[in-house]
Amino acid sequence: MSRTLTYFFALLMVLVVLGPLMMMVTVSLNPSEPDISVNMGTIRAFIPHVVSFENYQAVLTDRNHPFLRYLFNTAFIVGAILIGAILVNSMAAFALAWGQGRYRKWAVVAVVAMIAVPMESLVLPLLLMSSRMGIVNSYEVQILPFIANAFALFLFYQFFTKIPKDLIEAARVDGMNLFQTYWYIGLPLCKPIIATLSILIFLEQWNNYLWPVMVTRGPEFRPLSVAMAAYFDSNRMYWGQIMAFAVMMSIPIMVFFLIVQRHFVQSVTGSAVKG
Amino acid sequence: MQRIRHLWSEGALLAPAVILLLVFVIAPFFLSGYLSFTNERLIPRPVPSQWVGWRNYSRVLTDPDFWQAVRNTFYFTLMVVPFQCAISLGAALLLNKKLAGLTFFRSVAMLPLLAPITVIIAIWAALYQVPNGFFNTAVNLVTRDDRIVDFLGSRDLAMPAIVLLSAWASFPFQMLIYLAGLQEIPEDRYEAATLEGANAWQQFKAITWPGLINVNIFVLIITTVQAFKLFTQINILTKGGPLGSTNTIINYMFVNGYSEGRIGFASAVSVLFFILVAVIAVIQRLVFKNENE
Amino acid sequence: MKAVHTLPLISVLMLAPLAQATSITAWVIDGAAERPFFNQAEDTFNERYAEQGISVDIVPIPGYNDAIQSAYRSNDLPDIIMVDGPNMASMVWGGQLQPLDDLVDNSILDDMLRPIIDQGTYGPDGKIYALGPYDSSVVLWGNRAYLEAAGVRIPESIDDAWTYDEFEEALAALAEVDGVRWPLDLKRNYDGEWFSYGFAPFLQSVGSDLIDRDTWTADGTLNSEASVESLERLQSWAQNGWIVPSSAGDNSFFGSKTSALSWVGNWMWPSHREGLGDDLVVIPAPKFGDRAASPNGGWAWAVPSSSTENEALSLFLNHVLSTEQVAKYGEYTGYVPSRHSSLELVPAFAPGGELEIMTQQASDIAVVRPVHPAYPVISNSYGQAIQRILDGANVQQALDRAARRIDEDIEDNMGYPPFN
Repeated sequence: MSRTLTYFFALLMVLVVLGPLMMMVTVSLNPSEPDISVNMGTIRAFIPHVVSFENYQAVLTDRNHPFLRYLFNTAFIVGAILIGAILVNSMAAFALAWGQGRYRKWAVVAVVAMIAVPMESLVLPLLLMSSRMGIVNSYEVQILPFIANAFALFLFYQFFTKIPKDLIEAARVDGMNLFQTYWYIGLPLCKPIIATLSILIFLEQWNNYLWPVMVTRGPEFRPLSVAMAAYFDSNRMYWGQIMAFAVMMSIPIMVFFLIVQRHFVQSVTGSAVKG
Repeated sequence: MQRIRHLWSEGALLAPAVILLLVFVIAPFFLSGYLSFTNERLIPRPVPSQWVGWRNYSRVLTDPDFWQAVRNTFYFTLMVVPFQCAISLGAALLLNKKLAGLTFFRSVAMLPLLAPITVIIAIWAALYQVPNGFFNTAVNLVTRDDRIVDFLGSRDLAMPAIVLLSAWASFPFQMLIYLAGLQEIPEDRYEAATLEGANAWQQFKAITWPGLINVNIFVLIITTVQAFKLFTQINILTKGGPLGSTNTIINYMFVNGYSEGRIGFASAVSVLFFILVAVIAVIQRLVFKNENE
Repeated sequence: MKAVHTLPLISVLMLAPLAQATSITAWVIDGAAERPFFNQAEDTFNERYAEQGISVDIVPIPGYNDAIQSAYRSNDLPDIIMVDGPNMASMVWGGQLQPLDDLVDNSILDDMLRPIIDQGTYGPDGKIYALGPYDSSVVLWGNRAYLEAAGVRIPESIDDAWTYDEFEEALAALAEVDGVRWPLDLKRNYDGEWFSYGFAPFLQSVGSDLIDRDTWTADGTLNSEASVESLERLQSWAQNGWIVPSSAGDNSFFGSKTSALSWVGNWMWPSHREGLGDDLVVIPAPKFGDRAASPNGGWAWAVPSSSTENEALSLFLNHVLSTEQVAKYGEYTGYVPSRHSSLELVPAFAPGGELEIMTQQASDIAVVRPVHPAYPVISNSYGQAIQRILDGANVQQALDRAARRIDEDIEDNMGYPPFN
């Protein structure tokens, strides 16, 4: 392929990807709803021609939709899942890799089988269980089901089995029990897996919708993803504010990930090779 | 003594994961099987739930809405999987060239992956807006009249509109995986081919495509499974309409189980969904295993 | 993880010693028209009972129905709520509400419009579980200029309402009038309950219904020949392009004036009056068959079974259902006040008033929505069928499907004893 053609396609891709995002930013900066509506299909919807933060102010002061509360909810839920998932799964994986029980071979098979079970086919019984336990509309109902994760467990397991046996033996000779071996040797070694999983779990939770929409009501415990949908629904046609909400929700994350881009790329591709 | 201590800590390491998996994966899995044979409902009621045998299954399987949802799910999958894989591969091939500003192009291509799906849905709703959204204006420019095309409100166009949106939203993930696959193909093979005078297409056919076979299997499986779970876009944009033309299996399950609280009935749907996904995964693996050999 | 809950708890504890204060919380629907009413209701109540240390906190909740259901499941319903009238039976059957008979003064009950009492009375025990401050009705709002241009007869009272044929002729004539893009607005831009509430008269007026109210079976009634015939006619109007499509938005009748008639409830009265002024005419619900029918009812006060502050609740209910407050509700929102004594205070609804036809309909031809625990399913199924029919689906099949879903639900709940 000639160089010119390559650049042509590369630029085309940039246009297709940036276009909708530019529209989000442009519309969010436009305080006049009629102006937005008239220009929706023209080039003026994609290139900012006014800069006003009125829409942002409207979103931040909306009594029915406390943006900062949603932000906190999301950060808290994702943070708790990340910490929980990394500890719980790596612990179990280490026991499966270096424990002594005969059960381990079967347990690994069971874990692999569980990877294949889609969350979608579990949500209804989970909803019924949480309703009957009275924990619907809370943080715990959004956190606990996602901590133990067969895929993460398997990823850790694969990694741990590659640790040289001598290292584990030496720890045992030093009088460490399995937990200490995990804590002082296993866990510090698996930083790359932790990085990969953090990103994958983050992406998964960031887009999680079906479960939170079932278990959250009102703004108290609602995460941003569901809040965005509710905001969109209750402010239909107020595109300026919808887009301001969208910008505030996505731009910080985009900036952050572009900074750590290289790790990010490695993580996604790492999951491919290992999964 | 030391052995006991060892076993103790082995148990302690396992316990949290075992308990959580039991409560949140294994128990619901079997519970959903059980519930699908009862008339359980979400909201408590004064009469106890009963065992109803295969009634839920026979109702689901004779409901035209269910079959429409199944057809729609396959229709979506058959459209989105080849389309999304093709643009992912295309973008990956593009980014695999040693062009100046690579980091910039790659960063841009990754952006849709970072925006949450709900944000992307809102943006695309604006693009599909009637009467003067971007797509309508574009269509009018081409057809030179001012007929309104209601993409999301039309039986024929709603699903393709959702395909376009979904492919845009998640192609970067597959693109990154292809990119990694491409980088594992040894450079000297291309050099040798160039010396022999092979053109770009011949090189792609002889080196790139066979080199990506494993990556292809992986990408195809994850994209298919992802497509089968289509729900968020539907729930926000069309609620399954117009006339059920965008209703999907998960949306059907959600509406019956959550909105209408018919847990027993909807559990039968989720069991059927699980079987469907499992069967498709097995078929895909078998097919590709044969091709691989 | 319950940390967030402690903040209100602390503030309650801090306030407690100041007085033996009783504070109740009410959840209400969130709407632009209702908000000022609730604000003044809260203020007047708190002022009136300040000395006794009794106060109310009225909280508007967006996404109300879902909020109530999930609050019930997580066991944190407030002291008093509003429920959509027809959903009352489902909640009572599920054990969610307690009767109001002992909380509300008899003088109020005696003064209430009959259909509102019917809407709130639970069949099996004959007790009242929901009391609404208003009633609603649906009429044909017309644009006089267009109607006169088309030479259409304008009925004066519910006795000389249009027949199905006359209605159809009027639409055909209106379709030819300049400026009329669609003769009839059926509010296709709405969703949910409207498609059951607003379209039930197309069945009830021809002698059919959503469900047989003796046997509680939908099959044979909802999908009867009469229903199919009536709705096929409605469908042909949509196919003629006579009905405003949902994408045209809310204001085709009163804003852009591209439609000539609007079949919608009294809540649109303020917008219609503002948009059309003297051109606005109120045409009674047509007689599609032998008789006319109009839907009725609406949101009503109800007390969750978990509530215990009976004294304060009784004071609050008697306050918001007082003649003045009920009249105010009508004034703020354009709804029909639910008490005879309040009706007299709102000129529009009184005899000779602009909306007298509404009042007549509410007392003479209103058909209460089925007071049965399956109502949410009935409404949902019929509403979906209507939307499909307007979109061009086969009428018989759409109604069969709806009837089947309703009967399945009733079977799943073992006939909702003691209704079976």
